[in-house]
Amino acid sequence: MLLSGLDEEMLSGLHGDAVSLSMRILVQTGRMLGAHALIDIRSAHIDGCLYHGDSGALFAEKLVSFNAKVRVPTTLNVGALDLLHARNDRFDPAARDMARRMMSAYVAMGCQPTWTCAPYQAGHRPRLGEDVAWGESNAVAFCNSVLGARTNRYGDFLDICAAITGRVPQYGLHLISQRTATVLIDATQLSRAFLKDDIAYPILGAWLGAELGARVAAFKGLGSPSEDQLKALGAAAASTGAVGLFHVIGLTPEAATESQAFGGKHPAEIIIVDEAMLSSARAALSSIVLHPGDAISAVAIGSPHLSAPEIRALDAAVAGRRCQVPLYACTSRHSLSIVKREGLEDRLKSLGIIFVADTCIVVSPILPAGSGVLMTNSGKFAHYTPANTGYDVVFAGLRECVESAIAGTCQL
Amino acid sequence: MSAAMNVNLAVLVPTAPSRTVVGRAMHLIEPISFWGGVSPADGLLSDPRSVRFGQSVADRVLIVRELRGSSSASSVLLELVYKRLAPCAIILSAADAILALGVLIANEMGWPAPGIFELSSLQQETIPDGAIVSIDTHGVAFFEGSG
Repeated sequence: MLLSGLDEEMLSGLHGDAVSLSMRILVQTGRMLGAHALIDIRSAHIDGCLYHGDSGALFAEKLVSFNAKVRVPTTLNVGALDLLHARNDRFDPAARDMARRMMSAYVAMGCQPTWTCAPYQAGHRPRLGEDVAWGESNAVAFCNSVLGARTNRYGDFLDICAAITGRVPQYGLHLISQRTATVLIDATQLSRAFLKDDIAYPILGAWLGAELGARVAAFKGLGSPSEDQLKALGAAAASTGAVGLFHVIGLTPEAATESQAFGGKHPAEIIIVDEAMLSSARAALSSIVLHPGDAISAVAIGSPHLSAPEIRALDAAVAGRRCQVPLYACTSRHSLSIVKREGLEDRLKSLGIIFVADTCIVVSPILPAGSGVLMTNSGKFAHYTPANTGYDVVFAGLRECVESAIAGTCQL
Repeated sequence: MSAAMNVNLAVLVPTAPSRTVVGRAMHLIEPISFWGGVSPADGLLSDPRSVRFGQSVADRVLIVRELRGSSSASSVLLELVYKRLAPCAIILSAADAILALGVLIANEMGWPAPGIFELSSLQQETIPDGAIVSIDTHGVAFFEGSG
């Protein structure tokens, strides 16, 4: 791998121990992946700030002890703690202390305390064609697909190493040749009514991820889904698969035409998707089958974090009624500050909605201890809830989720 | 008939400190995300949908056909290393930067960590599930296979 003079300097320790450690990690990773060089990045989004145990906190503190500072604008993904609503978790005091130390370490390195998995809806929107280093699988999918900025699926720790050096290995989705689709998803068989409903997008995403793994697909005939619908699709696809980029022909920035999406080549594979094919993907998003009237323990929405428009949609669906079981609404402090000004936060809180900011219910022990049944409209929550919380999960649309929270029982 | 067999693995990240490791082979056939798939608290496979739910990856030669999902796999592996609950070696079917990072960071922290190796999914099948496998510093894996 060819290193620039500055890369060599950074590696040598001339720019301090944090920079040389970070450069060592980048060089080893780049060599492993067969990259020929490192390239500059314009910004970073760090997923490594989430507490999974003491090791990650100790690493972050080691970087701080080396006086690490980020070189590019850097936002932070969720941490383990809701810093705005301290009552919200069941961590033991020692773990909470380590989680807080970890969050503090990343802020000490100069990262912005955004604490959201939807940084793209909290003011961090890289431009078309920019190289960036983003972590968090849904954020990566959105950044590549919807914004047209270029990032690989950076794992925890490589993200901060990239931010500290401003460099990443030149491979994968940084290369234009890797960004064109190989698989055409023909969605013209799907009804307009299905595609109009928000529930279509986490289902399509879950199906896509399971079908594709890490290949790049382009949708034809999907119409013009909203930003929040594309967000839901990408998050689900990046949960069930390793999808880092997808195109929607006629909508997303690198797919004005089918020819552009495929780089002028023919698709290697064409899949005609119909609603029957999606029904098993939908079924796989629930771990149990519930019938109308069956008890549920809680409802959770907001993975990725709710945007302000999604909180307004929640408010409209609740329509002033009180929830009988907790409805957890996970969002960013950025979106929360917007709806707070509109009076939505106080109103929804008074109706039994529990706002969770800076974190969420699958990364932090927030749901009541034990087991139960969680209902969600998020493909990502549906995918990770059984393993991460011990709860069973039932996937449904926003309307059904809200009606169930208000009734206290399943309203499918 | 059982016979002594060996296969050459590509070394993605060497075992640290450099040594021969020995462990029982554990095949993960279904795609796995380490985050959400392995508990960093106890090293047990944590997805109730997995056929190996509840089994431990600690000290195993973990043979992974396909990685999926979260970019936090590196954090989970680092935590397993820190708690001494990591596999003794991980054999992937294709190079993966995310998982390898857990080991690279462990090396920077001075914590003994498993090597990461690459072997095609077809060749992975030559290693029987449950076989005792030793992997030397050059990435040669020795095991009893059906010959």
